Amino acid sequence: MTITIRVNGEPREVDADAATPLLWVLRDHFGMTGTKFGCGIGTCGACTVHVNGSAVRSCQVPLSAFAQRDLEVTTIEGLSPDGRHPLQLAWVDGNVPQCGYCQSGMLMAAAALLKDKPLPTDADIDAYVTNICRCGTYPRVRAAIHRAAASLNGRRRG
Amino acid sequence: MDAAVGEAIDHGRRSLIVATVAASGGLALGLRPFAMAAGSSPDPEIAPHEVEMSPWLVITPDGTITVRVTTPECGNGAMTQMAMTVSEELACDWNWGGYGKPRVGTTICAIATVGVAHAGELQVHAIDVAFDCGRILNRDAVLTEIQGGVVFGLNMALNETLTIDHGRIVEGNFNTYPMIRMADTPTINVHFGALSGHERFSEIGEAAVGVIGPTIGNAIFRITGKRIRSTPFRLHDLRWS
Repeated sequence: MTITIRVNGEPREVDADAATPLLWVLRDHFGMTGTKFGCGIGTCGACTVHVNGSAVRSCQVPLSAFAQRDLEVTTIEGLSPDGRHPLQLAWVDGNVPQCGYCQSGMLMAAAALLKDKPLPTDADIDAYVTNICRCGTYPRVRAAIHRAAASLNGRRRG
Repeated sequence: MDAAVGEAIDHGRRSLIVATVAASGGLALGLRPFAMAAGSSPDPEIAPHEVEMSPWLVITPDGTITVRVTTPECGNGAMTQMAMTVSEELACDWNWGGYGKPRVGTTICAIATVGVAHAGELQVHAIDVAFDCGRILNRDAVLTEIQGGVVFGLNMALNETLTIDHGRIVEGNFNTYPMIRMADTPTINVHFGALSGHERFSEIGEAAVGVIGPTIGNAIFRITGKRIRSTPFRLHDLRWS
């Protein structure tokens, strides 16, 4: 099927099998390789992107989903125009990544969390960030989310 | 192997090695053929010539023991793994020797704060780690490596195993291969107070991995009275009363 989907604010046309997972549309057809393949069955979270603002595992969304309604996709490439999303700043500040493979998905999951819960509790973080990190960056991911939330909250108050 | 040890008693250095082999299960150095050789020729009057105990061990008259290790060196190139393996198998203090350096390796210990419900549910609340790798250059990088090592050790201790059925590995993906996630991650406290400042900059990335299983296993024993002898712990019945 040939279909136009909106990715990071831009309409992009793709001609692919209707069952093609969004992950592979992004990576193979659009060349946007910031979104990673991990497990292909929706358990690891490496492929997390936003669809209409919610975090989804892009390996589980077929291209055909975009034929039914207008959906807006945001990937790690579109999280911020200049790489200075508060989470990205907190990530750099806290030296969060190790090998880095899971971190796009971690960031997208965390961004969806902050959209829903601007000042998340540890339990909120546990519930929203279920991604697997082999290097064990979890303590730093948690700390960076709290730091980003605090800076966002300070900005709102100020 | 027990018989081999009994016969080899009082053979000086040789019996020391045999005892070490028995104690360690002959793991790291391919010592099973050696143990069999020792059992078959327990001659107390060893002639003062070079003795090739096995393809892995050679003892020369001047007391030099050559240990051949089949594992490649891994890590940061400081001859850590091989030096530690050999010295451990020879029952030496493993801070001895290695590549001309007076001491090698990282000493590390961990304390686990653990809960086990009577129904057997295990919860790791906190891991405290202290270590001495000599000196450090980048404190935050050392910290992150130890945090990651603790999580890696948690996975090894609690979760990881592969099942082979008819020559195939059963676990094919993360739905059948559980991994530690955010919600499972305990508080990890890394203490820098044990750093000696010794001139070596020893390994740090993998050092924390090895102590996590034992410390949690000891905690389980303290709570339940059950000695867990194999990983992963999730496969063990931890119920207690």
